[in-house]
Amino acid sequence: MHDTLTLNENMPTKCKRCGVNANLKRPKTGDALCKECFYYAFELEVHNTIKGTNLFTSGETVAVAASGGKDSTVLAHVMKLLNERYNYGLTLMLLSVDEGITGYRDDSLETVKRNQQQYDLPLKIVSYGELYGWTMDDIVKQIGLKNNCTFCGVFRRQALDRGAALLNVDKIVTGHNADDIAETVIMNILRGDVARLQRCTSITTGNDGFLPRCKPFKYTYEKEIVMYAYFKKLDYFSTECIYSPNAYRGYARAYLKDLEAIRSSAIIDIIHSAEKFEIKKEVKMPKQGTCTRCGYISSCEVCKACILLEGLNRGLPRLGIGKTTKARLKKMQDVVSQNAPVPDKQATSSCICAATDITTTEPDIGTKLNNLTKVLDF
Amino acid sequence: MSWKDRILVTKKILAMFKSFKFPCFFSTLEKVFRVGDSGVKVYAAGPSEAKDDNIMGPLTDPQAEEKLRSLIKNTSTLTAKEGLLRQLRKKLLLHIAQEEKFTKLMFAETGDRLSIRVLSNIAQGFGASLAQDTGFSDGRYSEVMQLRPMKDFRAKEVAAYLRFSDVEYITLPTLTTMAPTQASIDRLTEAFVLGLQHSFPSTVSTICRTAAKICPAADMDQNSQDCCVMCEALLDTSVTGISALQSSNFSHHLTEQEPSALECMADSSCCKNSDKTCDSSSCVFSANDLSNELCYGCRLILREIDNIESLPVEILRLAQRRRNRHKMKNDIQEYLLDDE
Repeated sequence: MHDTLTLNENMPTKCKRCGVNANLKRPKTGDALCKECFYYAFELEVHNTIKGTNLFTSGETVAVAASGGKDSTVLAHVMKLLNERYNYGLTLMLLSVDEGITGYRDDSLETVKRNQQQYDLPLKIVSYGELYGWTMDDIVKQIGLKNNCTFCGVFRRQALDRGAALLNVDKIVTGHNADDIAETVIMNILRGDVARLQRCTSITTGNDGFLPRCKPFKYTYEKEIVMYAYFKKLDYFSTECIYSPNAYRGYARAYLKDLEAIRSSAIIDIIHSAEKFEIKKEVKMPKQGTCTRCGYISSCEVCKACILLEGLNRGLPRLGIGKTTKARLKKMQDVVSQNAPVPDKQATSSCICAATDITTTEPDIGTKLNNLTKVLDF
Repeated sequence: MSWKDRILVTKKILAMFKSFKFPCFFSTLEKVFRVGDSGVKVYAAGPSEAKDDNIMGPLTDPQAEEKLRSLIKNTSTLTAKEGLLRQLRKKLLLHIAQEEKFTKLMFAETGDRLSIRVLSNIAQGFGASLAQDTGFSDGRYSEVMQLRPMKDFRAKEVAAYLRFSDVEYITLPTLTTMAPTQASIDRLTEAFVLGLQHSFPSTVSTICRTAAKICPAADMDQNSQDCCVMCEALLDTSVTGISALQSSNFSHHLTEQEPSALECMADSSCCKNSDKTCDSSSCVFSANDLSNELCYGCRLILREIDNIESLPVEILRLAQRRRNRHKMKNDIQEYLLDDE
């Protein structure tokens, strides 16, 4: 398959499907297409993915995880479009997380608010500050620029779940695209994380106990998402997180970009490879249970978010970071589950959840939830 | 390399091997085109006298050499060339091993090399055969077991050992020696892994450990007889339900006009097979037909080859036989009791 096209000024390239003048060359297949045919192909492929995997059932309420970035903006647009065109019968809403990163998140949240108006969908914003008592700015001040992505990632996942629970949705959809999944596969191999490697190519994760999260863009190239947004003139926010440059994931991403330059199908090839292997049954996998402190899903006694928070509150910011031996892990769990008194100002810093037997001295869960619902826009 | 240079290199290697006192056999890569040709000797036994200038004499085969060169020329990207050469080399080695009745074939790949192979194979779609390609043993061929006893050694350790034992070795240039990192997927992966290893010393061992925990997915029928004709791995190309392959096919299908010009193998030698059910219509063998008998990764290589006739005849014959068997099975499917 030869991807190169020679564009002759006298004879413009024709769209492969309908024959009019082509506007673009599709990154996924290398075909020359006009705008309309590209929209057709893009939208139909997402629909094919959704229908083929029976991602949704009619009548469900679905929260679109919206960050204001290109993936979530296009996701909101396409979900709304397909829902109407093919009668999925879904009720859609936007859910956004405010990590408390000044300058970066404020701007992207503005974009989400604009999206809300453009697509006429209800919007809910949950923030780290309210949920955990710590914004990312505070966290970075405490722990510096390495490993901050660990905090943010762990907290965000819980934040999305809590927000979605408040909205009473059945599923969450995220804008993870093919590039993200391929990158995750590579990263998990480099890290030796077999548990995640097993799960990362599933189109829906989290079925057991907590809200399922779906990735309708699983086979969609990032470049095509950008192209779609560009031609459709969709509004999105496109800066890198200011705290991210030192993340390990950056290596995997750079490798993936180079691979794509050599062979454009490499991204789908990686996903195919990952779908065709699995972890040997003899390999010990962490069991999924629930956190004894807050009830969230966890593979240890106490969930990662609780450990991280406890560390922050006690001024032990490296608690929970990096590899731990079994002995250290046990010690960590003991530290957290002992429920030692928390330093004064941080009264609002423990996880809030539905568990009623937390024996700390912060305001009760009911009040917290009420405070949060006041943030709702609808 | 010119023929003269090749003779020099071979002599040097054989002289080195003399010190090991093992029986020695050698061949040339273009002989892979002669595998299956009855009466043609594909390899030679090592000479007792390394001074013999004509050691490569029995292996001289300009026709086969020309075929190899044209095959490589017909392959467009360096990635595909490397993949192709790797498969052909393996085929030749296994053929010789079978002829000499060897039960085991050992490869000298070190941990570094294997970790690069892991990532590179995943990137080229060979995920299904990852365990076999990079693990300690590979039992694809029932007659010859392939082993990698050095997989836990690091390249530096091996180099140090050779130095301390005063053992000679030579290095030969490959297609990508001195090439820029973007030249091919293998080269890029090599630069990536070794670069990462420099900053994170546990990279190579983690990759190898992770690869050791991987096996083919459960939904691939382990008992199936369907194997790729190039690499003999189980075929991973069944398109049931949504998968990367299905999505890829769907994308191409959306904007397809006419299928691209098919190569016809009008070679009538297929009728000379003992396969008596062969009739004239099934003699027409297209690139599409060959593609159906290949695994995902080998299909990607095939896409880069202009003319399938430049492939060794043995591969094409094997593919044709398999295709005919599938047709036969389809014809009598409803009467079969066992799922064989």
